[in-house]
Amino acid sequence: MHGTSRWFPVIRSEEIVPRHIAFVQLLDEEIVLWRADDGALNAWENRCPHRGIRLSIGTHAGSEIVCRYHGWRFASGSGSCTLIPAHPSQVPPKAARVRSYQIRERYGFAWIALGDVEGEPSLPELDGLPHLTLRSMTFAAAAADVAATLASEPGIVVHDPYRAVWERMGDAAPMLLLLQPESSAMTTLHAVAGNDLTGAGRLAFLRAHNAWCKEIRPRIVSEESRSAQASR
Amino acid sequence: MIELYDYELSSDAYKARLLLALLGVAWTQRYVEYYPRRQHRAPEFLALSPRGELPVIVDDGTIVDDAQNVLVHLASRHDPTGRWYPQNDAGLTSQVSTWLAFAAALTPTASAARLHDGLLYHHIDVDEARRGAHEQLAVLDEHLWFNEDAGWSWLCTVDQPTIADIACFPDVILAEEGGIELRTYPAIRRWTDRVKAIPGFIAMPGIFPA
Ligand SMILES: N[C@@H](CCC(=O)N[C@@H](CS)C(=O)NCC(=O)O)C(=O)O
Ligand code: FES
Repeated sequence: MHGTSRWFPVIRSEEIVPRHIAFVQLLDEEIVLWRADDGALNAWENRCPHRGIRLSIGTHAGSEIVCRYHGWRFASGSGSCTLIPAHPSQVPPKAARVRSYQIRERYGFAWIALGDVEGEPSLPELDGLPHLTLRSMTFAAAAADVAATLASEPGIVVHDPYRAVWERMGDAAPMLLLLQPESSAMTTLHAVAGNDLTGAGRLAFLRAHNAWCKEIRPRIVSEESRSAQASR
Repeated sequence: MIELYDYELSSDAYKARLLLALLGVAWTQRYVEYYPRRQHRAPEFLALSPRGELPVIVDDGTIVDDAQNVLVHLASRHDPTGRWYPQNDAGLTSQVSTWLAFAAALTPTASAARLHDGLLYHHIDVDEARRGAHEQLAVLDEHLWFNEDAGWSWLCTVDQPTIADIACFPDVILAEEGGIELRTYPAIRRWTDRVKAIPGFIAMPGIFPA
């Protein structure tokens, strides 16, 4: 699957709460995100280098993640093993290190790039504007199928396979719709609007977007059924 | 004196054990071998509770059955603070009732999928059970997300957990044992962390402590 050389938003920054191990997936890679007590954000492969157990079932110990199985501890930043409880006096081998991914925080999201990437996450439409992130929603469909549904909505312009802009009329600011391909059959839709609504207006906006996501869900259909429809 | 008719791997019996632990109330176990002996359908157990389901408690001679009702009873009778089952605010009491009903509705879905995968209950239509569970988890995740956004950590709009949280937690977190991944329900995953952090929390097999 292509897409390793770009930044994808994977979660709203504020959902990576203290002492929590957030769990996402991008292009079939399972990833854990966690913030150390000093604020450093880590994005790691969801796999313990010891026996491959998922770190998402481990515990967050402040500046380390502790694996559920044999208690190996891995440090924020480097991902290096700091302690093997069965051999506490032994210096852990260099190879005992969790794979980490490039991560950035911008526009209210954590962004991950799986491979080499040029530049920084960028949403030029929102530069100079405030940004309000909305509730993300996961669909059991390929990114291309979600994008096709977005393209059929009035007012939405799909810019590339993973990015669409909803130009809102009047004084309303634009909204960016960003697709996170979890796998070939699952996609998460993130959204950020260029407004600074507060209070009841903000809540109504969040609720309306959430309702819209649920409304488009049944309209997202596979490419096969789209082409069958077109040839009819 | 509280006797609890209990089975270690029963998510419903765990609801009672968890609340008893959080309340710090002593109890005595009456072991019922749910699997494979199906003692919950044996005549002696049916004489106690004709529904034939765990848990059942006998509290000073009063027989109480139904997992959610056991929580209501224990909180009403054994929580002097009244916080686990708030009854002096009608709106709040009604919120608790809604989520107790939601918890009960997880039995044929998330709980059934787990029994299918874990205890080999192969007569269960596991695809249908999982589909139903995903619909319910989507409702729960949305509810918890908007509650969090409004500053509430729990199922009900109150700054402490209630029996609603205790009733929903077991079948939600054990859903993964039934092949229902919680990854795409991030607000649920944060809530399960908070439940595990309640002082006095106890786990059961299949649930990792905090
Ligand atoms: N029997 C164990 C595997 C043994 C094992 O990995 N032990 C842990 C400690 S509990 C360990 O770190 N062993 C030392 C090592 O691998 O260097 C299991 O699979 O659960
Ligand atoms: S699998 Fe992680 S410490 Fe053994």
